[in-house]
Amino acid sequence: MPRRDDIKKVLIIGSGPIIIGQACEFDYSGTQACKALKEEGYEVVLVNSNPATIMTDPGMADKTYIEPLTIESIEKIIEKERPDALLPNLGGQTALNLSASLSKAGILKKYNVEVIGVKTDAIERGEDRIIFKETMNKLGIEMPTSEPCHSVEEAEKIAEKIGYPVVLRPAYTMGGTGGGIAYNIEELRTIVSRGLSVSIVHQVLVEESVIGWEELELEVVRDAKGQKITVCFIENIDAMGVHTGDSFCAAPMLTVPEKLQKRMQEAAYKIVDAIGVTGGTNVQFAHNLKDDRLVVIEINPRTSRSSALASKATGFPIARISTKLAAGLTMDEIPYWKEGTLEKYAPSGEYVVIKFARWAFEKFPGSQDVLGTQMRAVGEVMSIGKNFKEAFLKAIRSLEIKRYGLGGAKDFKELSLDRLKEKLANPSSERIFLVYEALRKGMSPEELYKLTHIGIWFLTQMQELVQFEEKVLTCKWEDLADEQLIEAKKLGFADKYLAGLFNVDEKKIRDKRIALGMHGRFEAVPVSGVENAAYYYSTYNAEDTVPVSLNKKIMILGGGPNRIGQGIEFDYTCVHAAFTLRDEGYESIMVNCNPETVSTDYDTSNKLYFEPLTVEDVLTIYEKEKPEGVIVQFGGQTPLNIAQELKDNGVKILGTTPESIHLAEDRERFREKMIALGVPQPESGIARSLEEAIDISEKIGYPLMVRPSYVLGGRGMEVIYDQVMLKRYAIEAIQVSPEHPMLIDRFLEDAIEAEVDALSDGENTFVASIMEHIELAGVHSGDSACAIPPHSIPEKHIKTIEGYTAKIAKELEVVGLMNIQYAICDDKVYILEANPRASRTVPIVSKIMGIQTARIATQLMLGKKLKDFPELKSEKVSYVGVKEAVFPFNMFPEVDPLLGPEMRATGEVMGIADSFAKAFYKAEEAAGAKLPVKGNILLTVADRDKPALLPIAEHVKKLGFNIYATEGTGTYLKAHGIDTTFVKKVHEGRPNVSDSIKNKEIQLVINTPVGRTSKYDDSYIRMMAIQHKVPYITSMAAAQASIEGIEAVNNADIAPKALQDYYKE
Amino acid sequence: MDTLVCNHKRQRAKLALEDGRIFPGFSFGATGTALGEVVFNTSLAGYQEILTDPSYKGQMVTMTYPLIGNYGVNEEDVESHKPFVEAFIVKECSRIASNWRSTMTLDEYLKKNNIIGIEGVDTRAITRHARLQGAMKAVLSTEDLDDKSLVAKAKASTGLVGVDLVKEVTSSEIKHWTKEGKYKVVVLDCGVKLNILRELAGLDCQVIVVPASTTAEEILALNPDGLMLSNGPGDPAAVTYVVETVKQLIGKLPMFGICLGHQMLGQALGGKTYKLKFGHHGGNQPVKDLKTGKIDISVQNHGFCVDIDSLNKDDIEITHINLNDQTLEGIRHKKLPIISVQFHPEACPGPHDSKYLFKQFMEMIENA
Repeated sequence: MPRRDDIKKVLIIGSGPIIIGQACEFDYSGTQACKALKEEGYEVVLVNSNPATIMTDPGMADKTYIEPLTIESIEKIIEKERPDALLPNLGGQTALNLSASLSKAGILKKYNVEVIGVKTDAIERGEDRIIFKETMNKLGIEMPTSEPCHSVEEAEKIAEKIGYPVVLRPAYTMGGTGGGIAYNIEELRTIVSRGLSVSIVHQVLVEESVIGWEELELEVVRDAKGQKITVCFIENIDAMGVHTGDSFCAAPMLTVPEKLQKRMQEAAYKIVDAIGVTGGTNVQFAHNLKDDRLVVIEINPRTSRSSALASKATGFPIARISTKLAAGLTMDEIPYWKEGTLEKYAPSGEYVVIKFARWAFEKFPGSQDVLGTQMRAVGEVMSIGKNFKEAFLKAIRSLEIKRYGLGGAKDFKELSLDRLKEKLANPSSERIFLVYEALRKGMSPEELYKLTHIGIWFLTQMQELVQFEEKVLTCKWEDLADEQLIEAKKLGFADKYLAGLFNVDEKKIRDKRIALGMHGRFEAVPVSGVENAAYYYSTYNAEDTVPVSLNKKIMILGGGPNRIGQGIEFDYTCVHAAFTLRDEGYESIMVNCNPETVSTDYDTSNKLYFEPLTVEDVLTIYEKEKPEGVIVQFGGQTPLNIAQELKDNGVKILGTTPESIHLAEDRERFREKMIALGVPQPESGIARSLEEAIDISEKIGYPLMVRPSYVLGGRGMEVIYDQVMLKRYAIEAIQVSPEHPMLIDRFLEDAIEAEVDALSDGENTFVASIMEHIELAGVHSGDSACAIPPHSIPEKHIKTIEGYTAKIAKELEVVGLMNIQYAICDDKVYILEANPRASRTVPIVSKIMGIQTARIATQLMLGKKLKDFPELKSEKVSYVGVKEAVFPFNMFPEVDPLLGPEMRATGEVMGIADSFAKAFYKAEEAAGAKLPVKGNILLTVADRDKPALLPIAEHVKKLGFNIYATEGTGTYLKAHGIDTTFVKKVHEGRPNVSDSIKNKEIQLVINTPVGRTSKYDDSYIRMMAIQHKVPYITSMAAAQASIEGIEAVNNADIAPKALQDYYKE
Repeated sequence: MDTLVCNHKRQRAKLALEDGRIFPGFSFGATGTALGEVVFNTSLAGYQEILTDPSYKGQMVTMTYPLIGNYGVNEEDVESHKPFVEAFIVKECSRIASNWRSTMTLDEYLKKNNIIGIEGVDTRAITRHARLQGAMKAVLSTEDLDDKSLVAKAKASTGLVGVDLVKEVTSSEIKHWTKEGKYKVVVLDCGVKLNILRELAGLDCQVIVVPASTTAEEILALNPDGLMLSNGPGDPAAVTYVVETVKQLIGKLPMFGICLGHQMLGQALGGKTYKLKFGHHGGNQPVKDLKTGKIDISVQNHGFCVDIDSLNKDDIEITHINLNDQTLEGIRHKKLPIISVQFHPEACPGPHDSKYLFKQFMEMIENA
């Protein structure tokens, strides 16, 4: 069937902000969807609240709406744009759920919008656990025994029938949100009540536990004719019980017999036929090794994290193909392999792909490093190798956790076998490293299998690595036989890891292996469904078969795995660099190992190397390709960490030099520079011991801002109010990074923080925009909401900031992008820090200001000057964009959801409107905290915030809200003539705040923390608010902005508007 | 020297091709010396099915996928009663079997069946070599490690041309594979894969397997509704007795030939066969159905071919051709219920593409 001509305009819903369980893989799939639809000649309308995405670039769709992903907002867009069709299955669970809700609400019917790809009834058949189970029964496909419940009591009865442990799965959620394993009735009650509250249909499935079974996944694609292919067979190496997002996996399946693979394929085909999906579907199975029982766990009738992985692992662009199939094409019309067509696809390839997750437990003190049915990973890496060991060790070094192999992590090598066993009893993010040490201590794969349920074959592979390691360790580097070094490289050991084992310089290892002819060689992964495309991976186990062109080339180093503080924003800049290089006549070469991204899409760059971002791996590619230079300033901290070493090895770095970047990070030298330039900084000092820290604190005075040097995302940063805190911190901080000193700054209280993204050609500088943070200084810039352009900074300070920025850029000889953070305190501008590299605000600034900053920065690095861009003028825009951060606190229920100097946001959203207040309201709505326009507001603030609360409370009253207040706050307000309803804190008896929140009496919580000195912790208020989805605000600045937003919405309707229309103004 | 696996002292082995290329590696499975033609297979899994496919008689199979043997060997995943490959060439053979069903490791299995294996060689390079240089006679040895001597042995070996390998693999007596069924189908066993039998049984056929030497009279005496000419190894021109049998049965029974069976039928219909320089091996062989214009991506393993020009076009319609080299892949008799294809429509392991041909065979029987 050819493409449908009865459809002209298609609406795509994106997945919104990056959260745990839903990350930039949906930018990858959404971007492919936009491209595929445009290729077929359709008009594309896109809505997504996430500004950091490539898909929301104005060139990707005809109309781009950065608007909240709510029914109301999308209805308005549909009303305005009148699309013929809606594509629901490319924007993750968010888009799928929204599409289902839009259909249920009759909106699609009202505006005559047809759902293409996955019809709404198919969504229901796939997602509703009751209907799905009925369908499976009809098909004769087994599932774990289970029953749905709608209440805790019901759950108890079912669990008794099935027997503990039971798995609890809320309907219509992703990333296993709110689910869990209950071993007893108490755990059951807790998890079920949490699960019921997060499920949009208040339904939780109580399921027989299949913990310890093999977890296997198929990615199948079906077209409208009912033709089906299997793109990829994925083997989760962690067994059932660890969420697939946290599991490490292999593709193709390595230890699953052909017959079982066929059995799963047959079941999967029956399922997608019965559900009626057009496009890609992920089908998850559990297989019991003891009795060969095979059960279906669930399906995802949409692109997913697994489909992104499957696409990258096989070279089959699932999202692109799914989109074309939704547009009416069938697989027999899409090319594959020498005049063949796609319905004949079968997976092939001669390599092993490993996926490994990256976690961020260290960011959430108090959270437990335990892996279960709820996903905890914030990012992942993919590696390709010729054998399992090579791919696996590559995956480890791709993670960028300062580990280059499996051994010697933390103190694990010193732990006794008993202690290791104890630690291995519960799956954690460290399990593989613990397994390695347990193997070293002589534990057998069979015993370890019983403890971890990791397949014996995989454990044996690790055992062989550890045995090799132990054997070579018996000799010194000088005595190591050539054959042993060759074998080590064939097994996949990194130079750096070997350097650590033998305690020699990495370069020594490199020189010797190259002298032995052991240089990395390359092989191709061909791309299906398009002609002549491929990407590449290195191996020490084959001949080099990848040709090199004679073109002018430039290499871009990507950002590696997503983590808190470094995510999709850096991928955005890298992608733009690749596009620009191509336009400028260069061959672009991308190096990255993150399968979720657009940068690792096959057509983003001319050549993609799917490789770890370590010195060894990058040098190998550099030496093969011999590019004219390497761009390191776009991939976040990742490439910067290796930039100097690359340069020392003869690599030409484009743009700002590694020395300048280093200087900006060297506090002492940077301070000297600032003094010389006359740019004020908060008083500060550097302490190398506790005594020095105390001396400095006495000189500067509390409060203080302290941090270790060389960090991104504010790792380890804290505000210190007294000496007790200081002492505790100094000891911890110095433990965190012993080679690096501790930095102490005066904490600027009540300061407004402003941030600048600037472009520089080494001489001249252009400030793309100043961003004004809503939260005051002290909250990490990545966690703070901010407004572009600034809405309250006086013109004179703007001029000062621009002047300082130009001076600093010139001094640091910045060529490319630079980000500087300032604070305005007592009418004076201070510089907080400068980063001569792309920042996470580049995409949002580009989008609001309509300036392609990453593109221009790339051109500057290629030698252009700012004067070549006459269109760059400091123009005022007539609208405001507000960024709001999105946090994973719902995934870490035990953690106090407070903002501080350490970044904890996983993603961001943007609201854009003609006024700050409206934009802020939209941003909050997009972040999932829709502000109420009527009802009750709870006010409970710290003493120091009480004066600032008065005008807010008055304003709230005027807007018609009732005020609930706790005793201290209420008394203060009453004394100033404002009446409140008194509520008890939890330790004061019942009914209390907790009851009011549970009973939905409270529509908005404004709560600033009383601090650690307070006798009673008030963190439960914020945790309650999250659990019960009540918007909560923890700073006075945000409270003020919220009230303005509420007022603006009271007075005027908020309308959606496309980016392209804003630019026309 | 130690091997890839650090704890085991391993015996060396060498693979030598007739053109002088040498691939040194390490021995697994049985020891000794084996002769054969080097071919490759690109399947990701399913090595046990490949080992037991009788079509591989006379051949050494190179697996392009680098990790082989991970899930061991079991009793069920077989295509015949024993392995037939002359030798097995892999990048890395798993030392252990990680599967509940497995009864032994691949190493143990090959030892038991006296098949020599070599690992630690770049199987991709061997495959590339075979793709560029064509099918090649080879020797694999754990005893003789002298390059010159090995190459000489490879050159001197008989190879496949003119050798009847069918008699080595065919069954010794008539077997009633299924006792009941709507249609009675006789399978002339030139080295049949069990999957062909499973496919027929699945279509409700009573399947009778007969040795390759069975005569036309003996077959007719079984009173079948149709005749399946199976796949098998080696040079079709050397199996004259089967061609003779088929000739006598043309016009008397609906027939379906697969692979070697297709070549038998081609000869019986007056055609000639010849050795391809580049045999068709591995998955991803594009075959065009000339009637529908559709392209099948098929799994193949054959070194010989029916000459497209040698067939009488008045009687015979060309139904399929290979897009890589335009060689014959399928025919249909214009007047009689006879079809045959060079590729494997039952394909195990490999893409399950062309099962419609089995259904076509059933229709032919029904209408006969």
